[in-house]
Amino acid sequence: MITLVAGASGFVGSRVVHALHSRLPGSVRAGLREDRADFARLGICQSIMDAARPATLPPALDGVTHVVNAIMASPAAMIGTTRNLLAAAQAAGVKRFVHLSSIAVFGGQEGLIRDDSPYGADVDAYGAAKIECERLVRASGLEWVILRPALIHGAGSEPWTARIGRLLRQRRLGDLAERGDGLCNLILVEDVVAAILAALDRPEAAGHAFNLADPDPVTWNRYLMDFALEIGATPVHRLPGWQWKVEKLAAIPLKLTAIARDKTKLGSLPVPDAITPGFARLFALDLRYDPAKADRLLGFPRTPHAEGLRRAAIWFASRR
Amino acid sequence: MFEDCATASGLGGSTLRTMLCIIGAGPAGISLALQFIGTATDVVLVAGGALDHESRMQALYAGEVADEAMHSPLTEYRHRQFGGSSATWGGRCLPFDPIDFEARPWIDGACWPIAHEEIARFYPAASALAEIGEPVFDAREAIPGGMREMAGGFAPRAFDLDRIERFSPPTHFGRRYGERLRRAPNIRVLLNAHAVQIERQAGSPRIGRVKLCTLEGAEFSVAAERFVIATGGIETARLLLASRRDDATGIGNARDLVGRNYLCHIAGTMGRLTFTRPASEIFHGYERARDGTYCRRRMALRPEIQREKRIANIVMRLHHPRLPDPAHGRGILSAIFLAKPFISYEYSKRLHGGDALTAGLFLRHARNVLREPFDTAGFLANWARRRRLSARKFPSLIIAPRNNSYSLDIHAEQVPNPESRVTLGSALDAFGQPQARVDWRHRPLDLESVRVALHALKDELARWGGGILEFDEAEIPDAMLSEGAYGGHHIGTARMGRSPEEGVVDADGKVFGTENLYVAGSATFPTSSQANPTLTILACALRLAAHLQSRREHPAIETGRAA
Repeated sequence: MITLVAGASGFVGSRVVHALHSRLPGSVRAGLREDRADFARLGICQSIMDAARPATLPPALDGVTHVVNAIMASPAAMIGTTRNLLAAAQAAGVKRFVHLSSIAVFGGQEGLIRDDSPYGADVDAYGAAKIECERLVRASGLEWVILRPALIHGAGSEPWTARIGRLLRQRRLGDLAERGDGLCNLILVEDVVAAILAALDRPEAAGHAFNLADPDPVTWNRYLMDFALEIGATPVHRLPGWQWKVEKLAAIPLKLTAIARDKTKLGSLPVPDAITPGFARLFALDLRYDPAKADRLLGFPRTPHAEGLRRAAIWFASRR
Repeated sequence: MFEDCATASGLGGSTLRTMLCIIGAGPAGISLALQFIGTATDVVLVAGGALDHESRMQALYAGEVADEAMHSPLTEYRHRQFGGSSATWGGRCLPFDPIDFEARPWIDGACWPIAHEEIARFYPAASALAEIGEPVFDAREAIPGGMREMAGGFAPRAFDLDRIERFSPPTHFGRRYGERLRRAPNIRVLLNAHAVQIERQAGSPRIGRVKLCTLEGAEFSVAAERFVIATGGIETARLLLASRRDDATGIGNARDLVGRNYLCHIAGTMGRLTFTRPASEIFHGYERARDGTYCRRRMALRPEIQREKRIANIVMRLHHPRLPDPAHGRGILSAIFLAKPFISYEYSKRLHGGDALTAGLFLRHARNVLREPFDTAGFLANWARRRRLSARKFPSLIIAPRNNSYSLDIHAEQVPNPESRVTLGSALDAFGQPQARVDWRHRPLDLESVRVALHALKDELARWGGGILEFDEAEIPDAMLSEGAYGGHHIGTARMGRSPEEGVVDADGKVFGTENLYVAGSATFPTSSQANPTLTILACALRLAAHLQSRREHPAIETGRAA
């Protein structure tokens, strides 16, 4: 069994590479656009590839039995990269294709969401592209497993650990009162990796899509309180109504400034995180994901909530 | 879901059917309803007011007070709106003490039919509802490393200085939890619907329906398998007493107990405690737990001393000098005194006492303000930031005296007294219902407990040698009764008892003589404790919810599952 991890330099992809390598050295091939020193040091086989350029794929897939598609791409690019990767995998005779999708395919639905719940009608461009990719995977003729992680937190998670931690320290998040009663559907990055390994291994997982989220989610208020206590953002701030109004007014200028910074390559210019109305709404969403099928067919080990928070906090504190 | 009965059409004459009808949408009623979200029980929550304060709703609370010097008007300290009086509370939360639940032979009528533990196991969940952080009420554990000592080295035998109070933001239960109720498909909140009569099924111990009215003139009813009255200490008695269609003296009142033993707290500020230790060793302020909650120490008279001295439960806090006396010399205290017209009735009464502002007094206070302009301005800016601009509000004024000399803020249990009563008055409200009439009375033991506790503290301080307490025994009645019944703590009017001779409701909160009518809230407390009631109101509501969920009723003939 040789597994190609496409998108091996990414947040999830790199961890999958390490996990597969430590499980069995020589069993993983890292598919990426540029060499990584840490992979090289460990003697991990690296294949330079770019899924947007089909010609680069056959060498990367040569001799590969399993593929993990962990490529992160813009909505415009991801359909093409998925199509190219699927075609190349089929040509290479790949046995199983594990595709990382997203809960964005469900849009703004609330309530209990199952693995086979219908796609959302109100999805954004990202969700729409993810839906199209899932359709391509299902129609590929390959043996496939689709994984849809919820909000991935833990070591290395910029949006759900680093950003949340910064906002807690800045007293821009904390106790959200009635605005934070929604359920917090996180999944620890280690658990996503464990689910991917199970999706590669377990025969019964084939042909199924799985939502990956905390089976017993706490409210956002609880999570923010617990994480604030872990990282020492105390005393935990309770946000007054006027602060939400200020955030709402500031969100668009902050977002535009951040975009301008990225466009002009002023990468080091610190721009405060924006709390956009969409981000703020998330804290009140009342939804959870039914873990039953994932537990039955993937059966991957889940990290207890408190332990996940602790690990996330240790990583957060260790950042520069 | 929410339904505004003031504007709904077609209500008149109709009967809404449900499984559980909760009358009253204050902290107790809302907390109870929240427990049924997502269950198979359909709930109607009757809110006798609008989402916000409306004076025509508030006017329905008007009533008579036997002695106006002894009790505030019935339209004060209570809010007739969704969320109830949590719209105005101060947020102080602490549990009742085990001794409150014990039979104390020296206090007539002091006994709960349940043990402390029965309520205590619901305090953690109640604390979450009140948003007071971790349910830790010990100064040594509430903050890493322990809270600051109140007075360095003072370790009295008679008082526990490690008991703390934690402060809610304070939570407005309507605003905080309304959205959850609105989204719950099995909860139907009726706004602006006023319960006027509880009616039995013909000749039966079962309650069949509650009659509701709107100020727009609609009359309709809710038929349910079970009913809970959660309308507060005064309105609960009024509704039971006024429900005379089937029982001549009111529902649950066969033994003339409804409305009796009406308790509040005995509270006031008095005495002068001067520390001889350096001011830096004295701390009477708030500290914040890591979760953000404000916490404060208090001096609680230990239960063994209460037993030994045969007195009621009591606590004291260090307090700034009395505001109205300009001799304190503090600009900020004078500024607050002069700001009286801008402070709400409830807080102004507490802060200012009954002192009238004369020209001479005005000048002396104005001089204090002018003498410390920066100090005063700094305080006000800080106050604006920590109270006005904060969602978790700084709970109360903390001003250290210039001379290390504090007054004592006393909060004591009021002992049961059958002559202290809520009855029906002669005047009628907009629905033709009798208004409530309050005749609050206290007993000699109430003031005696304060006297004994003050002496106990005085002796302890003398033994310690770090402070001197001076007080005039003759001051006690004036100081403790300057406001009469303290504040908005309305307790005991449908007290819990082991038998109909002892109480209006049984240990489960069910009204004796009925099969399916319950009371939630401080009306059921047989004793008042030294503690403010809200946290225990929430714990009792949660306990009642657990009880109602543990045994489902057989659907009655007259009612059925809501369509």
